Amino acid sequence: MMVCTLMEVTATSRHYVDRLFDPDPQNVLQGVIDMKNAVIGNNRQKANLIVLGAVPRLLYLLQQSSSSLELRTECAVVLGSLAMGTENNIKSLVDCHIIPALLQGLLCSDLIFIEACLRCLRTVFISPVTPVQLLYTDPTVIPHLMSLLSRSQHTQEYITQIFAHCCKTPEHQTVLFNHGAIQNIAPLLISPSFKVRMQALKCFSVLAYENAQVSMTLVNVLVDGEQLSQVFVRMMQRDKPIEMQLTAAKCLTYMCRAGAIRTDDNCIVLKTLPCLVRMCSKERLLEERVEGAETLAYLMEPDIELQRIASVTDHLVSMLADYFKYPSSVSAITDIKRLDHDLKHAHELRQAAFKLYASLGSNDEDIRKKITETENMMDRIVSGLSESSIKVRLAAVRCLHSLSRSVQQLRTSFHDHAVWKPLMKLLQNAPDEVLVMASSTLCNLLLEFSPSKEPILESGVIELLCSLTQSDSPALRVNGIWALMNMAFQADQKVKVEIVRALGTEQLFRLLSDPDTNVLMKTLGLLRNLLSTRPHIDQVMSSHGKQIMQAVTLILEGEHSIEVKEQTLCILANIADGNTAKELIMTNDDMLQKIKYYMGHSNVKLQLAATFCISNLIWNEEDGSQERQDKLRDMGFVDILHKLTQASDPNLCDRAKTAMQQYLA
Amino acid sequence: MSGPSSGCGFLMSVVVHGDLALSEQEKELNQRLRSLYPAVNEQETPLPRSWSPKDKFSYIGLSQNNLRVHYKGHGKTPKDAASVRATHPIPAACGVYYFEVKIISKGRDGYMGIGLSAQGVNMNRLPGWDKHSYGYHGDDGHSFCSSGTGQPYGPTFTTGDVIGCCVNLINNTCFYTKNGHSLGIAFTDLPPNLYPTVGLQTPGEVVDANFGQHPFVFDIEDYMREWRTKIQAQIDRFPIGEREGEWQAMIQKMVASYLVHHSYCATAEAFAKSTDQAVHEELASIKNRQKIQKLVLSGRMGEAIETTQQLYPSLLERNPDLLFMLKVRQFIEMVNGTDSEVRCLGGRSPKSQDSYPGSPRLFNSPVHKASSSQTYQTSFDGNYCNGVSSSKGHTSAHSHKSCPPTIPSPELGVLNGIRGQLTNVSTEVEMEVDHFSNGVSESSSNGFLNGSSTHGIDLEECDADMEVDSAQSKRQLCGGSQAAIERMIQFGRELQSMSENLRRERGKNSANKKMLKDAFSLLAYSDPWSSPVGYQLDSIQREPVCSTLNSAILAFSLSATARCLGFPASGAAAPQPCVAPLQWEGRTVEYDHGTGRNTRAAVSYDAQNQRIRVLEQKTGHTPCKKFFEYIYLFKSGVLFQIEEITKQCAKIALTEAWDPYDIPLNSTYEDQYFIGGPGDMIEVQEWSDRKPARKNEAWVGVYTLKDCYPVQETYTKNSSVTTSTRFFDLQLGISDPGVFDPPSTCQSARTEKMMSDC
Repeated sequence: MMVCTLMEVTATSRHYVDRLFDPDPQNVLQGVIDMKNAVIGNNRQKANLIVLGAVPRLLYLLQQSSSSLELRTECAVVLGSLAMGTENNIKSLVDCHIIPALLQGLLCSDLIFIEACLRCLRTVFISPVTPVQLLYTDPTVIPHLMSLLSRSQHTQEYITQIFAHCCKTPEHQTVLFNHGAIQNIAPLLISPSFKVRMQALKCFSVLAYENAQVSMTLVNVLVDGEQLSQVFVRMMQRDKPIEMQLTAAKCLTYMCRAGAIRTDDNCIVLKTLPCLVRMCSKERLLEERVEGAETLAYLMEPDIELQRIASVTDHLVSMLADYFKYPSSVSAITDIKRLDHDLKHAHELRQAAFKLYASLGSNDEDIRKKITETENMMDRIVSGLSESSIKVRLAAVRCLHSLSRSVQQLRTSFHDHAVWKPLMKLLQNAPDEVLVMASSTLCNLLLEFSPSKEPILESGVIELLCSLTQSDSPALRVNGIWALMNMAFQADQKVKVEIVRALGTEQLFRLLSDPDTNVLMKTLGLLRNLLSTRPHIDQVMSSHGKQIMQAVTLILEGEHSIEVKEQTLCILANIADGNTAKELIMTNDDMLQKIKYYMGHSNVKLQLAATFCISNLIWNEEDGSQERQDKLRDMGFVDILHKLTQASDPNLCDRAKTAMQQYLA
Repeated sequence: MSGPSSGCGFLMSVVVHGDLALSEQEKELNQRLRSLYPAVNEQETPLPRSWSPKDKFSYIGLSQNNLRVHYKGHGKTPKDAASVRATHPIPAACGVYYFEVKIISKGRDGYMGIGLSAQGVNMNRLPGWDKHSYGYHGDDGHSFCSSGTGQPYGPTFTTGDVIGCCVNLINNTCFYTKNGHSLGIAFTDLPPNLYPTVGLQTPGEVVDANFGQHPFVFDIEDYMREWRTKIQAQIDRFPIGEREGEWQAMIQKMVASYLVHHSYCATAEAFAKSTDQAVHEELASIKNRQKIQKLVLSGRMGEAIETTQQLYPSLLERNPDLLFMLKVRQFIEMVNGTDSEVRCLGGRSPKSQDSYPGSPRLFNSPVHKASSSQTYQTSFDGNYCNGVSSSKGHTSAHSHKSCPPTIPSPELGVLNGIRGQLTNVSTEVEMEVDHFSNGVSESSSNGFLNGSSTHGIDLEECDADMEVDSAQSKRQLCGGSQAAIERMIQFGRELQSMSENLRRERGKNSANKKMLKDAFSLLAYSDPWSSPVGYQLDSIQREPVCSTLNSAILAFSLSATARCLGFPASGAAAPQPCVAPLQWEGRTVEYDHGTGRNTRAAVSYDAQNQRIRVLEQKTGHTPCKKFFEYIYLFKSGVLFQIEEITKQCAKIALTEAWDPYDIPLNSTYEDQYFIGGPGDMIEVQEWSDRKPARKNEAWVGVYTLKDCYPVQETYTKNSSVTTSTRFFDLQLGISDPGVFDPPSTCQSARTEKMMSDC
């Protein structure tokens, strides 16, 4: 029975295709028209025609200059109709090189034909299966499309829709920008056609995204004597369609993030932000709520004032809690369709909420408190960390990271909910972007006052962190070494030994020559933390003294920033505080010369650190202090100290005086 | 900033304000209020424009045109809290209302509350602490919803902040704003008529109100736009039935029914004519109602009751509460001296006799009622129209028309009572009326002998009297006549006993009790007009009585109309069988008790031509491949049976009688109920009878109430079911009359029935 009907359809489809080859052009035209009427709304018919090879013939007829304009137009219409079918249809059309053929067709002067081609191109380009790059392969295409914008409302609608979908990279933005997209599209924002206004608006949102050049240009554009930002503000009015409000808010958000609009501008504070908060409300569609939350998170990420305002606007913090209630228990029972819809959006909603929470809580302690006090918030984060969707895991760990900046939360809710457990699990096997966030969060959890520090230590975190320091990603290396540094701060000898053992001196020195300054700084920080309290200093230096001194020499001789050198001199000062360790300096004349050099350096910080080092070496109450004092006096340090007691910097002056007193006593 | 010195500063700044600046501000205020609340009529419901110097606690000081509020108490404990309300409550017509308060100084502790409260709420408190009071407090950011304990709501607020309060009267919610940012819903389910309110509690606290004097910090217009769009969309999307979509006809119908309802008969007539509509009530009937309304509105209740009883005899019998209300009003009018019974006593010759000798008679159903209605029902047949026209002759004197079947006839109620006498007499109105009145009451008076024309004269005379009356400056009880007072007291006793009877028969009714108590209270004052219950004497109080009576008459007429049209009316009237549609197509399942078989069929039913076409679908026997079509032509007494695969045809003589799917006229009403579960709501009626075609079997039919479609027909014999047919998927009309034409193969048809079984 099924086979029968299928065959039947194929038979009639074959008939339609056959007519395309009729010698009489009039019959061909009629055939195409009949085909057009047959395929409308009939996906199977469309698939059949494609299988039977109608597309190449239609394209041939469309391109043939001998074809009548009417026939060419009808061909474009049928192709447009075929494109409206399934994704497979689109793939087949693209494989048949429909795009160049249609783009070629745009060179024709007939408007009806152009519109038919554009309609079809639009349908093809907005499909996710079409490579957007195809729009940019021929450099003449974009300028030609720009020139067609003035032809009719239809060309405007289709072209702006193509642009809005095909602008995906900074390169695309630049191409469109360079061909005058802004000047050409801006007037369309006040077109009488809603569709045109909407698509033009979408163009601006994709053009301005993370693009300072476009954003800076946009603020100066006037549309009918009105500033573009004001046009966008008008489009955010609450009686406008939601899609328009949301897209206009995106435009302003992107312009603001690109630095073209100040974050304290009224159009951001009083218009864009409240508009985006409204988009998160329960009344909106799930898609709109996701976009609203993500855009809002992006808007206020760098600005504490916006975070504070958003946190009190329309109960946003508790409104977001609703994002976790999908699929709702009701939908599961009553309505399969709704359940399906909810399920599809559940992940998106959760990750958007986490992102927004992360952004809200990134600076203000009160807001963080408010977030953690939201119903089941910590449980949600904990379960979010082990969700199957990477997007959700990433957003959850981002949220956790944001909240982990709070000393209070680290001490309370983080510990109560044992967040370190899922976090550690996450670190075992995760993509880099998740690892970066997770390890960064771990750094905070390993801070000295964090009650989670102990259990984390016991879970074998050291090996894990040491492996991170070998990563190709600088961010991961920083986080790894940073966490180790935090861990070593005022730690037991046992822990320190374990860190040095696990990391290995070789890796330690590799990190000291890391091209990333952050890595270098944190490694020096780790060394400094390892070399604190006298017994620890002596122990570490007795086993690794030679290499450490070598490394210190290397850094002091190398081209490094003041901060790096200061940190290194501080390490030296710590070494100088050891009982046995200080001999490693005293016996190294080269090192002493270096210290002398830095005491006379133009930078006060370096002078201070170097003076501190000397002061430790000549400290009175220790064995052999007399010999050291003598040696250093002979090397001319006393003169320098004396000079430094006259220094204008009071700290330096004090430090020098204290050191001088060691000689006087 | 501290209290006293800053207070001085404010006073000075008032002085600095020139008149010019004030009027300029006033103009701006007017303009803004007009544009924000275009639907508000400030003549009726003024908008709040400032704080009220009268409606505040003594610790509150006002300045700057009563817009600035400062605290001048000790501020030691919460007992020192003080509030002030705005001059007027928020009019409901605002839809969305908004005001802002700027914190000029938080004073010592910043215990400031901003919100709403109803009139009369204690002012020695902060807004939100008491019932019908709502507030948002600055010190903790909590919202207080008629309670001493707040809920965490928003941020705290302090010097320099601008706090806005928006009341949404569409969904009765309220939200606040801080410096132009919406803080989200604070209160829901707000009561109406709230006043903007602020409260302060510690020295130095100063706030300024902005009721529209200046532009608002929050973009309230934008919020209003959203709500306007929302409501507009709601209206646009409101689902309408197909028929209701014919807007013009619908609106014209509405206007016409309004005019008819309020008895504007000339206008109604003109309107109906110009819009080509049928008036669903006769003009005479409208005029009758108009007359009764006129009587009520002029305070002549006795006559109004009398006329109603005369024109709509069973109306008041069926509505004893309504009658009681009318009588109470009559009593009040007696006190007023306007009722015809008393105004015509004392000097003037009585025009209207006492027609209320014994109160109980009105509740004792007249004996004739039951029997006459029975007569009416059982003898209901085609000639009932005569009855209608006769009754019309009776009420509207000499208008004799034949009764068109669709004319609603409110007078039909009369029919029950007088049909027997009227069938042969149509012009001798007076005599019939006499009969009628005797039938209703045991009164020995001459009753309604003079008919309506006499009343017409009465009206004119009494109108003239009234003018004289109004010229008298001194108001006296019952117009000052002793006889009238006695009559009133007697009437009061009757009323009392009527009330007791009512309670006995129908149970307690607190509304009736209060009504009577209020009316009797009038006698407790020497000058009832200026007494606390004196409002009852105001002629405006006649209006609700008038409209209630009018509605009752219309409802009464409507139910009479419905019966006339064959629709069963809800309410007290006995249900009448509905008229089933004459042509339809649908599907049936017939269950034959004898064979135990269900026979499914597609049926085309044409009662007009007495023919039925049945397409059998034997789903009970799957292997059976025989399908038959039957065409029953009862008028020609022929049945065609067609085998569907070969189109082989049999032509058979039809001996059975035509058995329509309808409810026989004299059927017995069995029950009325909804079929299906919640939400299905298909209301059906069940009837039983014996049908002519199957006289030996008892018939029970279930038909829908709305359009009288058959739902189920069951025949039983010796209390066991013989056949039962269920109907479903019915469509009105015959889509193709050709289905009743037998196929060509029937021209040479065999004459014996084919075996329908396999």
